Amino acid sequence: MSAKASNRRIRLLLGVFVLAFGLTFLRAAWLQGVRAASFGRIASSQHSEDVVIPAARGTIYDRTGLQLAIGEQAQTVYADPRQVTDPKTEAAAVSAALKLDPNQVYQELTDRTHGFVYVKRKADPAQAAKLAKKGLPGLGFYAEERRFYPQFSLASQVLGYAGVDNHGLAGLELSLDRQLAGRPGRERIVKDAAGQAIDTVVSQPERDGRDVYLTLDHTIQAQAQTVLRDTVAKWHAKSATAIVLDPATGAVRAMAISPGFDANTYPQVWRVLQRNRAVTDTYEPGSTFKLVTVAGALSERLVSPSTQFTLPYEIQVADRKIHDAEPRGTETMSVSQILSRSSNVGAITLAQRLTQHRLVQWISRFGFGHPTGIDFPGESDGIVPPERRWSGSSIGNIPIGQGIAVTPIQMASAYAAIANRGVWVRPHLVERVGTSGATRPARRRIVSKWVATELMAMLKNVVAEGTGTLAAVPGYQVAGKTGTAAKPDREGGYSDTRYVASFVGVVPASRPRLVILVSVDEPRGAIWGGVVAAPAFAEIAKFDLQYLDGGVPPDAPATAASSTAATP
Amino acid sequence: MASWTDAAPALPSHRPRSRSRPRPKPAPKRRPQARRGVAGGVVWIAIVAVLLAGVVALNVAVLRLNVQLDKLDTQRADLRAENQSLASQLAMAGASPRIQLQAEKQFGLVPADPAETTYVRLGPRAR
Repeated sequence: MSAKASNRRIRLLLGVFVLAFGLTFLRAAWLQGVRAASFGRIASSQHSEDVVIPAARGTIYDRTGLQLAIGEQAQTVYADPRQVTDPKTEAAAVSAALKLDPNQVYQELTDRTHGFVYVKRKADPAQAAKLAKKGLPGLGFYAEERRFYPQFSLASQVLGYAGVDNHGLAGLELSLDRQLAGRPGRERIVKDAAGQAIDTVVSQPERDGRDVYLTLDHTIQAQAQTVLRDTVAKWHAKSATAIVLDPATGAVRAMAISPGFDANTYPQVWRVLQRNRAVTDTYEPGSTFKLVTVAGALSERLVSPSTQFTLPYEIQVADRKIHDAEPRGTETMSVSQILSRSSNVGAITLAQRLTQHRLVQWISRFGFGHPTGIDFPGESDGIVPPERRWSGSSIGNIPIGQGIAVTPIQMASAYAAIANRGVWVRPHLVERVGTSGATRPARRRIVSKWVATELMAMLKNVVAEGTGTLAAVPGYQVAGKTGTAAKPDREGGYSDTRYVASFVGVVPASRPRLVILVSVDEPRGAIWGGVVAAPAFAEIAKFDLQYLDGGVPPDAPATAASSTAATP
Repeated sequence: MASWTDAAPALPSHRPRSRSRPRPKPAPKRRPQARRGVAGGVVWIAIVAVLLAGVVALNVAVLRLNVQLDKLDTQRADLRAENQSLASQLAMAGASPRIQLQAEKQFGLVPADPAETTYVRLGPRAR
C-alpha cells in the first residue's frame, strides 16, 4: 500500500471521527442547552418526590388533663382502577376487610376513567393492614391523621368536630382551628433506581398544632349530662340544657345539652342535635328574669328588700291583663317575697316604679341583648326589643321575662355576677392554648356589693320557702330562682301546652362556688321550673359539691355547726 | 580512576584478536531534582487516591445515613401512631365516669352523701 493511499484512509477516519464527535457535540448541546429544563423536570420527577408532611392536630384537654379530642393515625386506602386485574375478586376482598358495600367498591374499581379513587378515607389501621397483606394489585395505602373523641358523647356540642380533611367544622374545633391545625411541612425525597430513599431534603419542617386546655371538667360535665338525660326521659321533654359556671372566674365547668351525640359519628347525626344550645339558642326566660327588675329597683334605691306592696291577683297594663301563676286574693308582699313567690304583679309594679327607660338600661347592663363574648362560635345576642319598639304592654311582660329572649349562658352569667358580689365576669371555655398563660377574662361591676348581698338573701328565700324548695341540697345553702315560660306560638301569642321550665341557682350561697342553670324544653306532665328543673339542679349541685376540690364544706347552719373544729 | 580494561588479565596471544567489545555505557546518573519529582508525583497520586477513596467513602456513608434516616423517620411515624393510639386508649380508660361506673358495678361504691360527710376544720397552726 502506498503512503498516499494510507494517508487518504487516515484522513477519512479522521473525518468520520470529527463527524461523529461533531454530531455528538451538537446532540449534547441540544440536550444540555435547549431541552435541559424539560428533561431536568422529567428526571427530577423520576428520582425525587416532593412530600407534604402533615402537621399533627393539637389535642383538646379538659381542666384535669384528660384528652377530649385527640389525633389518631389511620390508613387511607386508594386504588388505581387501571391496574386492578380482577375487580370482582378485589371488590369482595376489600369490602370484607373494610366493611364496605361490595357493589359500590366494584363500581369504583371498574371505573377506568380515573387513575385514582379513594376506597376508604381514614380506615381502621388494623383492617387496612390485613388488606395490605393480601397484596392486591392496584391498591395503595397511606397514613393520615384521624380526629378521635375518646369520651364519645361528652361535651360533643361544645367540642364540635373536625372533618375528613382534619379541619374544624363545628364548635371549638372550628373556632380554634388555626391554633389546633399547625402548619404542614414539605420535604424532597431523592430515590435510587430501586425506589429506595437515598437523600431527604427538608425544605420546610412541619409545625404541629398547639394543644388546647379547656375550663370544662369531664366529671362535672358527665354528671350534668347524666342528670339531663334522666330529666328529659322523666318529663318526656324535647331537650334540656345545663351550665355549671364558676362565678369568681367565669370558667365554664360544664355545658351540657341533652340529647347529645357521639362526635365520632357526626356525619350521621341530625344537625339540630349538634347545636350548642347553651350559646346559640334563645328562650324566653320567664321568672328568672325578675332578678333584673328587682336588681334595678334596689340599685336605684327605689325600694329596699323589706318595702311592702299591696298587690292584687291581676294587673291591667295597656290592653293586657296579667296575673300571678296561682290564684290568690289581694296580698301585701315585701320585695323579697315578690321574688321568692315569683309574683308577676309584684315584678310589674316594681318595673313601673323603675320606669321603662331605666329598665331598658338595666337589661343592657346585665348583658342581655349583647353576646357575652364567650369563646365559642355563633353566639346569639338574644332578642331584646329596643326602647323605641316597646308597646304599651311591654312594661307588663318584659319585667317578668316575656317578650324577650336570652341565651342560657347570658342568664347564667347574670346570676354569676350576683354570686360574685356584683361583678360580672366574661364566661369562657378555653383556659389556655399551648404553653401560653391563661388570659384574664373581662370583668365589670354591674351592681353594688350591697345590692348583690341583698339579692342573694332574697334568692335564698326562694329555695328556703318559695317556689324553688326542690332545689335544696342537704347540708348547703342554696340561692336561686325558678322560671316557667310559655313558648311563643305561630299566631303571635303564647302556647298553652309548650313551656320552658328553668332554674338558676348558686351554691353554697354563703360562699358561692358554682352557678348552675338548668332549662328543660317542653316538659310533659309538669311545666313548672320548680318541679321540673329544680330537682335536676339539686342533683347536679349535690354531686359537684362533693367532687369539687375534694369536697366543698357544707354551709347550712345545722351541718356547719356539726363540722368538727380541730386544732393540733 | 581504574577502568574495566586495566583490571582484566591479558588474553592469550594465539587467539585471534577479536574486535574489542563495545564498552557498556555507564548508567546515566539521575539528577537529584528528577528523583524528587518522581517521588513527589507518587505522593500526589497517593494523596489523590486517598482523597478519592475518602470522597467515595463519605458518599457511601452519607447514603447509608440517609437510608437509616428514612428508616428512622418511618419508625418515628410508627411510634407516633402507636403513642396516639395508646393516648386515646388511656383517655378512654382514665375517664372518671367510667371508673365511677366500674367502682359501682364491681365494688358497690356510691358517691358520698353530703349530709353524711363530716369535714374537719383545721386550726391555723396545723397548716
